[in-house]
Amino acid sequence: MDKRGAYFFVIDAFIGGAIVLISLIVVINSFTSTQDRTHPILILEDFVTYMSNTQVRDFQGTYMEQLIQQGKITNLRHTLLEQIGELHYYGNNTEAGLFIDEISDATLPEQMSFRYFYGNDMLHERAIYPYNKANLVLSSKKVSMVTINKSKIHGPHLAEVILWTS
Amino acid sequence: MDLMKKGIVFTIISILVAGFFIIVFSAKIDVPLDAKVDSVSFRVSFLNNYRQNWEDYTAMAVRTSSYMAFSQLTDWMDANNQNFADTPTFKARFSECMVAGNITYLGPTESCSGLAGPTNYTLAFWLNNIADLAWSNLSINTSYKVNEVDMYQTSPFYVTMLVNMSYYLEDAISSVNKTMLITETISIEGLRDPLGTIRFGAWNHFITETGIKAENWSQANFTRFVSNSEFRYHEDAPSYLQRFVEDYSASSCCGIESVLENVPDQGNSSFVDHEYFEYWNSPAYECEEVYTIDWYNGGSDPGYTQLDFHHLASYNVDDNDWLFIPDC
Repeated sequence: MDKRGAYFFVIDAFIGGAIVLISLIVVINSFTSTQDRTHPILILEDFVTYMSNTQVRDFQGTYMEQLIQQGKITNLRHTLLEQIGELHYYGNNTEAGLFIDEISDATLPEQMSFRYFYGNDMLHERAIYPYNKANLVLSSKKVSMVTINKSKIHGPHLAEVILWTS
Repeated sequence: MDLMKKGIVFTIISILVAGFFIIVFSAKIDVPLDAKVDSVSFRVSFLNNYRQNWEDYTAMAVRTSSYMAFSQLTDWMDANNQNFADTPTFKARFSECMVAGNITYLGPTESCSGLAGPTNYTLAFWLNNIADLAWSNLSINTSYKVNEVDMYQTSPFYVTMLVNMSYYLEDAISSVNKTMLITETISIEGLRDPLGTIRFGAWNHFITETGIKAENWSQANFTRFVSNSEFRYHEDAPSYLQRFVEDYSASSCCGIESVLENVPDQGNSSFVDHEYFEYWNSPAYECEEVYTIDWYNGGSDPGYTQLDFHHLASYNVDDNDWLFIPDC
């Protein structure tokens, strides 16, 4: 019995199948894939929304407690955004920056870099990755204002968070 | 050799099929029709966020500008030595003062306080600030119109403001057009009492609500109440808004009163403030109906006041060492 024909057919079938399989792999991998840009945007928007909707009394932080004891935070019904604005009004920019640091430690992934601006003043920066080498830079702006007393409003100012990743 | 030819044929067929798949499907980037939807939806969401900011800020501005308008109009009464003719006149002037900082109602244009000065406290000032910020930084165009301003009281030390406003927000992609009614309640504590300004001038009698409860009146508490120029709720007294038009009728929900000391006697007058000013230069009581209260205010200059019998009982003042029954 001459089995060489069968060998040829079987081997040929394997070769053919392998060619088809390799071509399918090449086709599938040839689709351009892009980095998922939605995830950092959602993180940034969530962070800004959290700052503008969460009241000071609902946030737990050691440094925040210090500010309360020092009398630099007096109204616990202020949102975090308003409270930063109030600290800025009274010239407590350093305290505002440390407060932002405490908030971001609890809410932003530690591998993400960001800057926090209030008006033209940069209150805080966390630069895990150099800004000038970032591949993705996102910005979110929020109008911020706070009542100082019955007759004065501090603001409106733009609170801007710039977030970047590698 | 024939078998090799057959094997080669199948191989060639599979290569042709694979080549077909590669040519047809590889390296093809399709841009979907809705590729720009994310940026559009983001921009619409951004405008919506600004709309929320605008409404929050407007509420804040209503509270602040209302408070300042009350203060300015009290200064106007002081500067012009007159009260407002009636409640509609007062409300009309208040509206102008609160929104624009000038009074034009039924008269020539003048400043709210009767004196030259800045208007960086008006509703227009605050709203124009945020509109300018939105245009220069966010490319959002903001326009608004204040349709009506009204106020009322349901609580003695608070005034509720009602502001009907229309606004229009627009950016390159979307717009919002809305009319809203803003309701904000402001505390009147810290404002000057308008009632005595036209009698005494420079009447720096600031409204401070007493912490003394109705059931806790005593000599000591009454002394503190008078010395600190505090106010209390009383159903027979006029409200804060009534004081601008010298309406002395009782406000059952919102009447406030204080007790004056060391002021000139108007002749058998009770020194309860609204009665004192209501019966200015005319006796409200008979001689024997008004009692003199004389005490030393914590060792400082002597204190002196007069109360009618009804208020004596109301304030629980009955100490004979204190009380001097009139010698009529």
